[in-house]
Amino acid sequence: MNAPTDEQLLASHLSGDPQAFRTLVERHSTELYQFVYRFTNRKSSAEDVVQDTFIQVHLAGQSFDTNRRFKPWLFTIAANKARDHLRSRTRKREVPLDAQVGGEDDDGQRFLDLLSDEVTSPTAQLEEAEQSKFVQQIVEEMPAHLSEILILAYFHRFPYRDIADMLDIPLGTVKSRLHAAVAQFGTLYRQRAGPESDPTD
Amino acid sequence: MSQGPLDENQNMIEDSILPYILGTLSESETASFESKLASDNELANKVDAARRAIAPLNAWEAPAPPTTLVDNILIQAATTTPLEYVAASASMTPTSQNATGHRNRFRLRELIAIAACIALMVSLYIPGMSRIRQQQLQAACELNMAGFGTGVSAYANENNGNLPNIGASPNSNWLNDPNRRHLLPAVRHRLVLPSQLICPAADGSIDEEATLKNVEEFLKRTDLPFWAVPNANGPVPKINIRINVPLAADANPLFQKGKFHRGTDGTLTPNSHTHGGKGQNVLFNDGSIRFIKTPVLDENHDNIWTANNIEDYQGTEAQQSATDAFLTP
Repeated sequence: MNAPTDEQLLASHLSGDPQAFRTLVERHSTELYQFVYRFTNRKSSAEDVVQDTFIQVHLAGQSFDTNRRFKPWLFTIAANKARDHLRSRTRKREVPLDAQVGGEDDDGQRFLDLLSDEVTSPTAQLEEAEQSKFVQQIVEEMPAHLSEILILAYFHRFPYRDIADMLDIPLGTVKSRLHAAVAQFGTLYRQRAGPESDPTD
Repeated sequence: MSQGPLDENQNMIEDSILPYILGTLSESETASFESKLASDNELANKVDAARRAIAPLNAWEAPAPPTTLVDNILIQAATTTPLEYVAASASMTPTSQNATGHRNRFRLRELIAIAACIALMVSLYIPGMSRIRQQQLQAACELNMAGFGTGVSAYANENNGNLPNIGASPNSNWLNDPNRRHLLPAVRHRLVLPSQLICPAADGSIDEEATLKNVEEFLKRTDLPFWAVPNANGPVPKINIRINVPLAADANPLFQKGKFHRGTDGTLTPNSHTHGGKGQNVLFNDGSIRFIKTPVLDENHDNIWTANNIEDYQGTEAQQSATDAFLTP
C-alpha cells in the first residue's frame, strides 16, 4: 500500500489521528531544518523556527487550502518565520554588489550575460568543511531575497511555480530573481576563490 | 522596444536553463530542451557555464537536526493550546519601529493577534472547540505515555530486560494492593515520573517532588493507567520488541471493587472515560502507543480489560501467557 500523502496526513491529523502529525513531522523536519539552517546560518535559529513552523501547522491546519500542496505551504510558513527571525537579529549586510543584477525586474541583466567563461573551478586546496563554510559565507553576503530563492531552488528543487506561491511574487520575478541570485553567487565566488586558486587571475 | 517572436522563444529557452540543471522541468519539457541542446552549441555552452556557476553550492553541507527535534515538536504541539500560542506570539512581536521601518506591519500583526485571542475566547463556547481540545489532550496523553514507556524500557535495560516487578506478596492480591505497585522501583529511580502517569485529559497537575516522597500512596490513585498483570507463576516479565502485547492503558473507571462493570451498551467493552469514551491510549511492549477505539484488540480479539471475560475478580487472576493482554489498576 502506498504511504499516505502529506495532504492525507494533514486531513487525518485534523480528524484526530495523533500518529498523522507525528508522521508529517518525521517526514519533513530534517529537510525543513536544513532549509532554515541555510537561510539563518544558526542551528539554534533553525531549531526554533522549525518548531514554530510545525506548531503553526498543528494549530492552524484547518486553514490549509486543500487545493494546494502541503510541502510548499510548510516551507512558506518556515520562510516567513525565518525572515522574522532574521529581522529580530542584527540585520545582516544587504548591499548588493551590483544593483542591477540584484534588482527584481525582468529588465535587469541576465545572469548568462554576466557569466564569463573564466568561472574558476572550486579551489582544490580547500578541505570539504572549509569549502562548505566558504560557500556559506558567500551566500550569507547575498541579500536575503536572493539567498532565499537560491536555497529553495537549488537545495530543495522547488519548481518556479511553487516558489512563486511560497514567496507570493509573480512567476517572472522568480525567474529574474533566481537568475540574479545565481549571477551574484557566481560573481562573489569568483572574486573570493579566484585569487587563492589562481594567483595569476 | 518590444521583443520579436524569435527573441521571446530564445528567452523561453534560456529561462529553462536553470530548471533544466535543477531537474525541475517536466519530462516533456526536458525532452524538448535536450532536443534543442543537441543542436545548439551556444545553448550548450550556456548550460555548461550555468552548471559551473552553481556547482560550488554543492559543497555547502547543512547539519542534521538534533535527535530531540521531533520529540520536542510533538511535546510542544501536545501542550500548546491555541490561546497560549497566540499569547506567546503576541508577546514576542516587536512593538517599536524596526530597522526597515515596517511599523504598520507590526500594528497589523498585533491587531491580528488580539482578534485571534477574541475569536478563540468566543470559540470556547462553540462545541467544535471541544473536539479540537479533546484531540490535543489525546495527543498530550500519548506523549505522556511515550515518556512512561521510555522510562520502563530504561528500567528494563538496566535490569537484564526485566520490567519493573516487585513480586507477589503472600497475603495480598492486586485488588487490595494495586497491580501498578510493580512500577514502584521505576518511579523511585525517577525513570518514570509521577506526572507521566497522569493523563492530561484527567486534570492532573501534581507536585512531583512531594509525590516522590510517597510513591506507594501515589500508585494507589484510581486515575492512573492500568498496568499489565504479571503472571504470578511465570518469570519476571521482560521488555520484548517482538511481542506486541499491551503493557499499560488509560484508566478504566468501570473496574471498581473487584468487579468489571459493563458499559452503558451492556457489553464488556467500554472504553476509558478519560477521552470522552472514544477510546484509550495503549502502551505496547515494543514501545509503540496506539489509540484504540475499542478495548478488543484487532490482532487476537483479546479484551485488554478482562481475563477470559470474567466480570467478578478475586485479585489473583493473571496473564494466561506472554501474549495475553490483561490490564488492571
